[in-house]
Amino acid sequence: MTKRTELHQRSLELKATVMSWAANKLFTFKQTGIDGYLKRSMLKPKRGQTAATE
Amino acid sequence: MSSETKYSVCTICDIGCQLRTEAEDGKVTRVIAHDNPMLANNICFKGVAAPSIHNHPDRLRVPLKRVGKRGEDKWEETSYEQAMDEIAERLQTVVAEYGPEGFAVSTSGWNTQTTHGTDRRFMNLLGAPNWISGVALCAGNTAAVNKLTYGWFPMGDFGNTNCIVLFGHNPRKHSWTPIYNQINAARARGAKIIVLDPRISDQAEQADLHLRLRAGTDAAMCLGWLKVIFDEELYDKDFVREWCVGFEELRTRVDEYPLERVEQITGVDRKLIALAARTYANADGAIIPWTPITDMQISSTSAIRLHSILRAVTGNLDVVGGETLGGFNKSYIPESEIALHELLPEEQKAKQLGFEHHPVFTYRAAEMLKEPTEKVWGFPYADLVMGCHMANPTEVFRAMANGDPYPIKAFFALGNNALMSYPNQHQILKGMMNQDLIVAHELFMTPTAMLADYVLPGDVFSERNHIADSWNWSTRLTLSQKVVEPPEQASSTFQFWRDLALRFGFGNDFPWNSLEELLDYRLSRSDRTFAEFEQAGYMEVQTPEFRKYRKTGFATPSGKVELSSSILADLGFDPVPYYREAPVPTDEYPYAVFSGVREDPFFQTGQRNIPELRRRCPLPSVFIHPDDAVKEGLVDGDWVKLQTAFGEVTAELSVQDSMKQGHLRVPHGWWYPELRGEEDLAGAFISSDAVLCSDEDEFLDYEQGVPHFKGYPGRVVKTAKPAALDLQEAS
Repeated sequence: MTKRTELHQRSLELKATVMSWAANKLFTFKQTGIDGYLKRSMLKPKRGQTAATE
Repeated sequence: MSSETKYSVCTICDIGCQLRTEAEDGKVTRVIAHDNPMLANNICFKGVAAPSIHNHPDRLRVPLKRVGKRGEDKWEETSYEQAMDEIAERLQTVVAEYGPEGFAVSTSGWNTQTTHGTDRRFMNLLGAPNWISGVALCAGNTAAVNKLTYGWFPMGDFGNTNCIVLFGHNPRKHSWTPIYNQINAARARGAKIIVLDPRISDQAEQADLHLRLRAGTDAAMCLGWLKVIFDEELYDKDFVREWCVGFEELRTRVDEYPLERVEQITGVDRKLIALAARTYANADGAIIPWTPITDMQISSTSAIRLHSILRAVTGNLDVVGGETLGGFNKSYIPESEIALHELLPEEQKAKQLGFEHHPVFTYRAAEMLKEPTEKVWGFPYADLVMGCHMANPTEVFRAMANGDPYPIKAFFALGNNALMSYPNQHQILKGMMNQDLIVAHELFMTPTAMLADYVLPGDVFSERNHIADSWNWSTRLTLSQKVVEPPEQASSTFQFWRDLALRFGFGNDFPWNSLEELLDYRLSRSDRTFAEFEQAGYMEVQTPEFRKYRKTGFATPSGKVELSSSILADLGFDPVPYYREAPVPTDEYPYAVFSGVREDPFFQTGQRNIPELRRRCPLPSVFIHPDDAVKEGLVDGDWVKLQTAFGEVTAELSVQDSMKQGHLRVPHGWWYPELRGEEDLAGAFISSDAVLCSDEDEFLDYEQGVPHFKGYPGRVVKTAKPAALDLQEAS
């Protein structure tokens, strides 16, 4: 069964929450701030490919 | 030449993959993968074929009005405004004569996407309770039944789970693609995969454990798992003690299912049953994702409830790696609120078909959950996957056909090939032929649309703006942008309901002039507009919260997980899950037939007119085990009739080692768009599985009234290839 100590449960919940927050910030194509900058840097359009409308 | 690329949420199937759409000079040219690396694999060949669908020469572009006999497929073009005026006038006539309950709507939100609950809003303002959808047989009914046990429909935490249990569900590269990708990722992390499927499905081939149960015996299998889990004390005693009610009643029922009995019912070795139960129960984080298989069985309510109960007693509810109860997205006004269910008078709710006999997903159960739902989730009615507060489809079609218990005389089908989407196609046809008014809102001329008085041209995902919220199944918001204009007079279902509402004098309740204004309204609680949402990003993931029940309790009458359901008891049903045997094969019909299985190139009854998809599966195939084929004197490639006591399907035979002996598999939703004008209703009665399964009580789940599509008696006999298909091939 999925029975964890309170500490273990809370640590997993914290990790899941942080990961979700980070994914939301880093990978949702924000226009401003570090998240948008990182994403645009990481995902430069390949040759011949049209950039997604921003 | 102008070109642009925008973000899309694909609506070719129900999964809603995030993609990008390219257009040049106002025409969609290509659909490509997302530029987010985490989403880039979520694309299938149906999505890639979207330009062929969106630019198809046969797409409906202007409203059509019937000029021949019903079903004769003869039309004259009319203007949108003229069509809407006439539809409103004729609907008013029906409502005046038969009451608002004499009007029924069947829709598929997956296809239409942009209704936003305005169909229910219009109907509730009118006083019309009879809304049905394919979700009555698929996901929506699962959501409604899950609510009985713990007040919401959970979503599996694929990203953190250690065990995935697939009850007949078979996500593949080109069907349920994102789920397929998530399963693969979990497997790569070391998660165990357990598959329960009569066939050796794609997922079964890679599973850690494969239990080849007899079709339709899911409930018995779950009772066997619980027997192991209880006897070996593999359940979370603290959670059960603090957060569950009805444990003793459940345990007594489970004790009626020793593994010897479960082995006898399911045909699976008892040692394998026990091993699977232990694997699930001992995983630190396990999920039983939604499955379309359990949705359509004679013990469906019990089987879905047993999935819920397994989640709860093994401590997997609302925890990391288990299945989370998301609740409403706080920054997007839910359809539940837009629909105005509270305005439908009690006496009209009581007229909803299904209310008396099969009430679980009707207003009757919804009213019993209203108070706890509002307390826990903030709204009295939770429309989850659209599958709550629905009428029972079988009862609606009976009323359309026979006027029992009262006549239904107006029927609207939006993005929904209703004729072929529910059991007993013959009765549906009879019901449709008995209507005073039928309106279809479609992309193409389907067999259902051919039976209509008016056919309005619909739009597609590249032609509209949208924010998808998975119909409240998840709390994620995803952006879909308009890339091109819809052709000629094609428009959205939102536009249809809004324009009809204005003609009924409901303008004050439909203050939105465009989809964007409605999206602005839905975003207004987070103080922004659609334009601002679009500018900011393509997706929002709400930060998850776990074990929320510790603050609010569960949204059930007791506030606990109801292992014994107080609502089922109050409705007069057995409150504890059970297994019910379906009609068994006989000498005359010796096989167990399961229908509704997806073919990768198609979604439901669609896409047979898209050349690149049709080439992948030119004709329907009935699957049979090699030993059964020998017994019947049949070989691969023969043309056969799959017959039941209620109807027959003609298809090509495919002899498959992967089939379980004694079983036949028939695909869902086949018709032949190329036969339009040559065969009645474009061959809708040649190969459609909807003629096979009865909707008599003997074949219906008691509580929901859904049909038993997974294991009804049938036989297979050799036949000639239908002449119409031969001619078509020759031409």
